[in-house]
Amino acid sequence: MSIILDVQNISKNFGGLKAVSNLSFSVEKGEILAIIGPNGAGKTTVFNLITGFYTVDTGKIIFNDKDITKMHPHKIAKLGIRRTFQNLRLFKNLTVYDNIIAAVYSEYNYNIFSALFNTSKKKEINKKSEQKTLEILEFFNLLSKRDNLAGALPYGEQRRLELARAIATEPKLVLIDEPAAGMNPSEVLDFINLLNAARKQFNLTLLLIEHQMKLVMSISQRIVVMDFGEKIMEGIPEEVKNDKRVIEAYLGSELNLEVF
Amino acid sequence: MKIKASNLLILIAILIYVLLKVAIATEFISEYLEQIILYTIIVIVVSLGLNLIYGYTGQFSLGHAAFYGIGAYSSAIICKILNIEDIYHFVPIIIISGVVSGFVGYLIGIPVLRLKDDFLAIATLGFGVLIRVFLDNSDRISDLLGGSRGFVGIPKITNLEITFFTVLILILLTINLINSRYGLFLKTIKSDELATSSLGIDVAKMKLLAFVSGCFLAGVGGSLYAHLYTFLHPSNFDILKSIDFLVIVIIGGMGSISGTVIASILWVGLIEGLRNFLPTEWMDFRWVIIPVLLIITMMLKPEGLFVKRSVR
Amino acid sequence: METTAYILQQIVNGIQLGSVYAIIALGYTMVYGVLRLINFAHGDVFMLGAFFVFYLINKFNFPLVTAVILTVCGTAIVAYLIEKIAYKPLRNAPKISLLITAVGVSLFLEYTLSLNIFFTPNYIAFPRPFEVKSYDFFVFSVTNIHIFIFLSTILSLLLLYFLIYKTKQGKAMRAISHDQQTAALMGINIDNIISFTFLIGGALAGLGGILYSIAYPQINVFMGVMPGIKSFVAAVLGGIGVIHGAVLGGFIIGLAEVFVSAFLSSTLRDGVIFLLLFIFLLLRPNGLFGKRIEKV
Repeated sequence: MSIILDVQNISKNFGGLKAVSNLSFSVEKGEILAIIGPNGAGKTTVFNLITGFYTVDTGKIIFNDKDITKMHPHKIAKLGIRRTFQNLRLFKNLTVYDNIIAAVYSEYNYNIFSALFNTSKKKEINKKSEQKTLEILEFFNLLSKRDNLAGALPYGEQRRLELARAIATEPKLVLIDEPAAGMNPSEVLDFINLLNAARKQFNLTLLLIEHQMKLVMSISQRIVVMDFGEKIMEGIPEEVKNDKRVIEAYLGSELNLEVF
Repeated sequence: MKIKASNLLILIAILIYVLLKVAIATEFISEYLEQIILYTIIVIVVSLGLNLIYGYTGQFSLGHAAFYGIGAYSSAIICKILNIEDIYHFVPIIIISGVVSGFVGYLIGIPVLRLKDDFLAIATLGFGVLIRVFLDNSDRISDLLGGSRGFVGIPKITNLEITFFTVLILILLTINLINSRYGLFLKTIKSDELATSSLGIDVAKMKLLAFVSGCFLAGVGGSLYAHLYTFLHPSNFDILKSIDFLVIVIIGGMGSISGTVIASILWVGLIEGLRNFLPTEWMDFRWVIIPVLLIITMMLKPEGLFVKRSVR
Repeated sequence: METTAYILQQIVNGIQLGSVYAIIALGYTMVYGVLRLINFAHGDVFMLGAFFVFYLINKFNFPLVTAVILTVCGTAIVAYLIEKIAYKPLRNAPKISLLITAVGVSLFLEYTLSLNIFFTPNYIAFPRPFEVKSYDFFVFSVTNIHIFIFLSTILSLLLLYFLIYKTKQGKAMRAISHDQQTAALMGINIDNIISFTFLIGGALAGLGGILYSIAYPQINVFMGVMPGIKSFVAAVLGGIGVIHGAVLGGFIIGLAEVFVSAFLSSTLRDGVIFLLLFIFLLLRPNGLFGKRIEKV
């Protein structure tokens, strides 16, 4: 199997606080890898480091054999990494349709000249983009809401929209940050199905941060466990479930152990 | 659907032009009123520029009038040096003046657009002050520029045709830009720069695009202005002028082209109307009313008076 | 010509001007630290300080000390009212709305007071309420005004330091400056602390107005515009939100302005300030003492 993302010994300090410490792991093409760990373990920081929003202090990040360690966020995104955000970052005052087509347009290009003079190239790309957007909206069951403002959607649908936006261009790697936050058990179940279906349909490789153990255990093929910025364990769900260190790290948090 | 709307717009525009032309030719409209109408069209194009920068892309610029001034002075200098006094040679100068403003906008934009809200405001305000100081001292470079005495003797070349059609074309191009993928990116940048970046879009480049385009429009407006009023003074292009344009964009609706057009017309109409009916002391009173209007707009309808309420 | 004496004298003048900028900058940096807002009206509170003290001394014949105290209290109250009326309703609005409102308040104050029924836009001369004494130091001279202004600034800095780092209110201010939401959750009364910040800021602006009009005894309704902007530049230079930065920034701006005025041309002095601003924004946007902030 080929390795699509290789995180090599990365560290990040925030003025004395070690957010991430000597972290290494790799993601194989086509797999679903989850990063779990108690709050403050540094999981979202890892995402921010991979996507270029923070710069690593030490270490390297290799994506598809390309060193993306010091790259700008938009260049990294252009290489094929997309993400969702822990606190949702939709374009709230734009429509559902616009949120998706904005993502699509990042791939379907025409130059300024075409834009200004309504060339046939612009019309062709517009049509192609519209088609793709409608496909995505349909798949994610948001077609009926296409003209609603993103900010006016119920929470669950906003999460779905952000996921749809991240997947719209069928990226090589999708980073999903706590997608099930704030969802009840039945919503989580629907989400698991959606994620599986999307992965199959669009041939995705997923890197997932999640707290909800049911989601993690049922969907991930491998899990990386973090605590205090370090990797404390890595393995398949069965192994992780029964690992002493993992259980210890979670003791004292609101996590319900019997969900294991 | 979109194509039809543009055609309709062009049709209406041509109608308006014909009406104006007839009115002026038959002297139904006085020369003074004609000048006001041309000035209004100029205000429309400059405000449109600021709308691109601030209304659509969310970059708060307090120095827009500086680019208006750069276009005006550039046009006046070039025409003076090349001895241009007729309309046909003037047309390329208008474009060139716009390009000069746009280019300065490019140079300033690269460092300044990295800044957020408040710092961007101060930086652009500061740039406006720099240009004002430069213009006030411009007679050190060339007596022609006049420094704080002002630039006199500019040939009067601006007329209805050139103003109307230049601005019409620019409005149509702007509409095309807004309705393109670039226009959408400007809106997403205003909404959330980080998220836009995460989609693979070069936010810095897009912001620069909006800024340079906006400055280009301001420069074009400046050029038309210079050869309409034939006299330029640095005080025409200071912070108060920048705030004038800002008020028009804010009240007319951020991100609304029609709103900008309407607000510009109302604005010039109001100022000129008051000028004719009120004694001069009352004219200064407008700077007491305007800020209050601004504050009230911010509290009640921050997206602008002619625009739908958006989701926070 | 440009002898050492001349240079030294300009340094003295620069420190005087810089002191006034420093005091104003302190107010800016404090409010920015707590609210992340450039209070454009701050320069106008400075102007009001000059006007209050002028009228108290010259029209109502108050003794100097009483006039100063009343003025400082007066400007503090004005700042408080501005916050309550114009800024508080927009506390949760997007930053731009607040900025525009601040610009609006500033313009409103200036133009209302410039109406003929109030102060008119003209300059009013300000006869100093005490005698100017000059002390000669080697080749330059220092007046009691120079000394008074400089000492006032240093004293203000020390008092502010004490306030922010040694009192409960100061701690609350620092907490709000870090994280307003959490501070509120911790039981800090946000409204009160913000009001308090504006009271102090207004007092400082008023003091600045008093000192400025003593040094340059001509008041005018628009006198706060340039000093206000320049003081903000000073605060940025020193690192916005950092108190000693504001003071150092003030001195840098004051000295730069006086030197450009003395050795180049007085008409260029406003320009040089903004040139400095641009350079800093490009090379060191966090200022001399500012902290680096990561984006996400």
